[in-house]
Amino acid sequence: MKSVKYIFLVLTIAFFGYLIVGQLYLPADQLDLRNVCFDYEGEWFQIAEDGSRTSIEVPCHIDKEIGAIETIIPDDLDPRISSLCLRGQDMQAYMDDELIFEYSTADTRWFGKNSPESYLMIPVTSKDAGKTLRIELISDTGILYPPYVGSELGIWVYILQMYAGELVVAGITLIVGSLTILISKVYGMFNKRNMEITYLGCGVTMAAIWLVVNSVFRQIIFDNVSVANDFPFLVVMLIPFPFLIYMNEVQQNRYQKLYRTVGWSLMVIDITCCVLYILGIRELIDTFIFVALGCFLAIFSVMLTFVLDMIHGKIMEYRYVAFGLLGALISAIIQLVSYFNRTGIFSGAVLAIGLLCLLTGATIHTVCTVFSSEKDKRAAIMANEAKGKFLANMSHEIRTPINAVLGMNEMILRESREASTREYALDIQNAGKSLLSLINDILDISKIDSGKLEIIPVEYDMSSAIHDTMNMLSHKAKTKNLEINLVMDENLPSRLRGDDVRIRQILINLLNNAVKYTNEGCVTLSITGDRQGDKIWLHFRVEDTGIGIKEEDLPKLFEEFRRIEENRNRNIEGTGLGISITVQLLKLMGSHLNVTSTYGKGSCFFFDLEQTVVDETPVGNLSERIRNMEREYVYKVAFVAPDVDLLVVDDNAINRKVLRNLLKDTGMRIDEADSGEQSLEKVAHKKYDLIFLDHMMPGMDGIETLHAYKKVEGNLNLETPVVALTANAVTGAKEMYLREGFHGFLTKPIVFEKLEKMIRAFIPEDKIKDGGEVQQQNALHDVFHVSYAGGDESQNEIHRLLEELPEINLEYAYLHSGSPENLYDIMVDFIKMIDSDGDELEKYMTEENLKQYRVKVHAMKASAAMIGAIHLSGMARMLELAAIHERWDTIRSVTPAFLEEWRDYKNKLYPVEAREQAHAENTEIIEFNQDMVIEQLGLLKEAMDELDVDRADGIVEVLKVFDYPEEYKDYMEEIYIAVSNLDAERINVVVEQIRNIGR
Amino acid sequence: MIKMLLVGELNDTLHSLSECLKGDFQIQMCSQDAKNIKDMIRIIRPGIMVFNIQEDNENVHEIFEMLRVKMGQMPILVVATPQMESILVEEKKGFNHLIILLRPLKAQDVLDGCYRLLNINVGEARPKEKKAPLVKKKILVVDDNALVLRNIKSLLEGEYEVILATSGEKGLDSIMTKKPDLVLLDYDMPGMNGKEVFDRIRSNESTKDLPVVFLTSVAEREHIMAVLVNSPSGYILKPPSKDKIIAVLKEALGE
Repeated sequence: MKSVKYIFLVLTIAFFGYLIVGQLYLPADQLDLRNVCFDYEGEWFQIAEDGSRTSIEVPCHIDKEIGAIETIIPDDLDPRISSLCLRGQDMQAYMDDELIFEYSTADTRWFGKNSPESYLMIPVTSKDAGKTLRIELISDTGILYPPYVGSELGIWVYILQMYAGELVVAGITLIVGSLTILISKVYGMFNKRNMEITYLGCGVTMAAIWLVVNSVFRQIIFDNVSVANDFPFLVVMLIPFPFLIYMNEVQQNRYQKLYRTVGWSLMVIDITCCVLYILGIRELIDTFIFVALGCFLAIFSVMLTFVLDMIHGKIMEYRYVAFGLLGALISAIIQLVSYFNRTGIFSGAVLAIGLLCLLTGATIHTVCTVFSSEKDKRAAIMANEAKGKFLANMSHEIRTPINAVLGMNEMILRESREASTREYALDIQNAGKSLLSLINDILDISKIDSGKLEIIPVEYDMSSAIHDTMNMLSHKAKTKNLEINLVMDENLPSRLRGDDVRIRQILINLLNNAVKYTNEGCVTLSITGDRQGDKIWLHFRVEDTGIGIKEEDLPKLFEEFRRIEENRNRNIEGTGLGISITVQLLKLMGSHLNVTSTYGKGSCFFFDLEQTVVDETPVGNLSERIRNMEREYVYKVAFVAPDVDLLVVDDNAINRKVLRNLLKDTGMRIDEADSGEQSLEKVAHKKYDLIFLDHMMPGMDGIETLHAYKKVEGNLNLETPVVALTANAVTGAKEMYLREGFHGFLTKPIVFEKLEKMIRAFIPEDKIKDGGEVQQQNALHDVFHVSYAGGDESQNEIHRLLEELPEINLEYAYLHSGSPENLYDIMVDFIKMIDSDGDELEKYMTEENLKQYRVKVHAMKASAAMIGAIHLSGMARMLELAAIHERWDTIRSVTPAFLEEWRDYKNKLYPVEAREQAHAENTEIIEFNQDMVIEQLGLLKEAMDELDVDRADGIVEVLKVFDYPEEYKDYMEEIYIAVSNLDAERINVVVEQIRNIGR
Repeated sequence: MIKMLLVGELNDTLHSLSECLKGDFQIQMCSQDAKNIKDMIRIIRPGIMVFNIQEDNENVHEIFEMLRVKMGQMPILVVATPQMESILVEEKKGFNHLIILLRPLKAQDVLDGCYRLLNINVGEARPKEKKAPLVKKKILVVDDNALVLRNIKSLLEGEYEVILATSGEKGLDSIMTKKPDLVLLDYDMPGMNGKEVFDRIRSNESTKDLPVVFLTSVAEREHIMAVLVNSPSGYILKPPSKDKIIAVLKEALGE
């Protein structure tokens, strides 16, 4: 290719050289030589009104009062000449008193007295030599420009050549100006930014248009020159505005007031000039001086701000713009000087260059700002991500110990009988819970920030969502003596599709806020809907009669971590994230939060949500139901109910035990049945006050059992409320159970609070006595405990033992078992079940008996959860889900691993088993051996005298094993207690008494 | 701790033997009677049995007969007089883990014998033996509340030898007889109260330097001031945490 390049180069030089050399050295030989243009060299005279003539030099300024000018056409005019070109306004030209030319636009314009200034071609040829050309000036701008003679085309070519520079500059300015507008608009649109340079682009483009329209070319471009002539004046009125706006933005509103004043002044001037012109009172050109003054005012004000900014050192912020403006100013001054010199025709070329200079400066400024703001933005995004990550991590780290604190506190609440301790524990619980919800808020916001929070639409039950929400808030409202109302359209569909969890969260946030910031009156939630095909627009409103929000504070409401009127609301707790989360959640759901508020009167938050309708059955009167529920809801801490009979039907022994233990202190009589079938017999024999019925059971499940009760002959419990026990806490479960005829349902693992609530709801009030008596009873219980201290010893031992178990989450386990002893007992039972459960599950898997498999693995999940084997429970849960979705491949691949893990718990729980075995063997009753008892009592006495506790306890362990004759029994009990109490004297006495029996 | 059944005439010899072994085993004593031994074994399932045979015992054969049937695998250490040797060698048949030690011997010999026996069965016991015999400091806890005594005992057991006294008077006796290294003293007790006990300890020439730490629920300023006059080694409020109490004891004992 190298050769080709050389050839190309050589040829290029040759061809261009040929052109240049030819043009320079060869004579002109263009064909149309008739197109010529010369300066007119004839002498000009001014004719005064009295007819006197004075000679004048052109170009010159002529007196407005003059009537006409004259010239005698010289003899030596080129024969190719056909016109004399004069720039001027209304006129008539006479050649030796013969009218040869007239210019007036009086018939083709709306406004103004004069025709616009134009290049006028007066027919003059060489034949007119010696004749007098008299031009009557009817009106004029006052300048006599040098006239030309030549062919018409020749004159035009000459004029065009003369103004080419101006034209090119104006064109470039126009293109650059409009490109600036285009680029900045597009960029601004994509980046959602307001680009101030757009205004400058407007200004520059207008200036360019002005240059073009004001030039000689308007005569060529426009049909109606009168209008085109007015336009430059009008454009000049507009031009200052975009510049002022631009400067204001660049200076960040620092001189807003100044610019506003200037803007208004300009507006007044402009409108006045226009009105005067339209009414024919003053020409635009006459009032142009005021418009120009207005422009100077604008320029002056900008200069003033420059000086001010220079003083304050702020000019560096927009130094490029300042330089550009300086350039523009200099060019404007040059332009003005040349204009007032009246040496040439007014040209905008220099001004246009100045404007381009300004535009360049502004562009550099804008590009710099955009770059630096992009950098800032990136930094801000990174910082925000880091913040989100930190918050999420921190929240997580904090949440774990809080859960432990709350868990242990729950233990205190359950085990402590001392009123003051319970009070403290309740305080811990409240504080802990609010801390937890706070942290959950933070987690939510960081999830939203990092875009990890998703809206997951599921089918849900409208009534239960609203019911639960109201339920959560009603207690809180009650403690503040607030009324909480629900106004709900009864015809809303009962089942919808959407993210009910988030809807609840939003409503709880809003209601919580309303309750928080309301000291008296009421909080109202109202819900209405608009059907649109299979969709419905739900309108939610949360109104309160609270403290309200000041109008200027409303925008702050939506900021993260912002709490309005911090001082006034200091005693109200919260992160200030609630509303922010609500806003963002609504945004995720394609909605937004609205708020109206009257300070001191209350606020109203409202939003609309589109949901898909699943079931059209109307929800009915939910508000009435909630009111009833509230009336029944009385909060009490503890209770006893010794006259109550309960039946617990559950195939899982651990579940039954848990329920029994939870209710231990209430004194209720609890019967158990391990299957639906077995319970059928029980209900026929005894009248119960309440029945707890497990849903998932092998054989007859809970629902079948419930239906079977109706058919049992002589069933004493047809009226007895039945509560479903289930681990399926899915939404809609509650409705399903109620539909099937259950009176309520409890989720497993059972939480005491809910159990208590259930019992209070279904057992006649007269059978329940409140906590006061419990405490008295337990005071006795404490005394008993003290006197029987051996219990505490074993409790310590059990606790230590449990703590050493691997993979057991004790906090979790205690939450559901209540105490180490209960947990221990549960574990003992669990160990017994390990083999049989494991084998059964294996069998169901090989037999591919899906239903039984599911029931079994479900039970195993619950059992594992109860002993705190969360990991194991999680595996079981996974398998249960696999079974529900009939994913056999998962079941087949995971079950062996699960079983291995499951059976391994026999090893993991070995310490429990070992202890239990030792105990079982120790407590084996053996035949009374008097010799030995007496002998051991002797040893015991010695040990007690020395207070050798270990030996004494060891001997007691031995003594406890014997099957004592009746006469020994009381003494032996006394011995045990005395050893526990380290009461050596008592031992001496009792041992002596026992020896006496022997004799 | 391994359970040990210590069989023999319930006399001082047996008690002193028990005293020597109790640091290493959980001892249960029983007289040398075949039926009693059988019951005891059934009840406590000992890991080892030490049989201190008196010369004049007639039941020896019966006992060995019973053991041979029931507990042929149990490690048994027999301590006897040289005169019994021939009989015992005869009886030894049928036992896999039986060692006979002949008098006169020291308590340490018995302990070594026990470990020798157990090493055959329990390999883990070996390192225990190798550990230098740790002389635990003796702490006397004086408190009228049995619960507290038991609790403190269980808290301190691993670190110290704990002896107990249920009253101030008994506490003073124990100080004389058992020579503790430190006294943990309750303030409020029936009979002699903590301050009186403390004053007595300080006024006695032999015990005036004995470290005394108060462990009490009495937090009134005047009581504390009254006690502090005699500068006790520590003052702990009930209920104590294990770490706290051990820290104070360590300081008081100069550890």
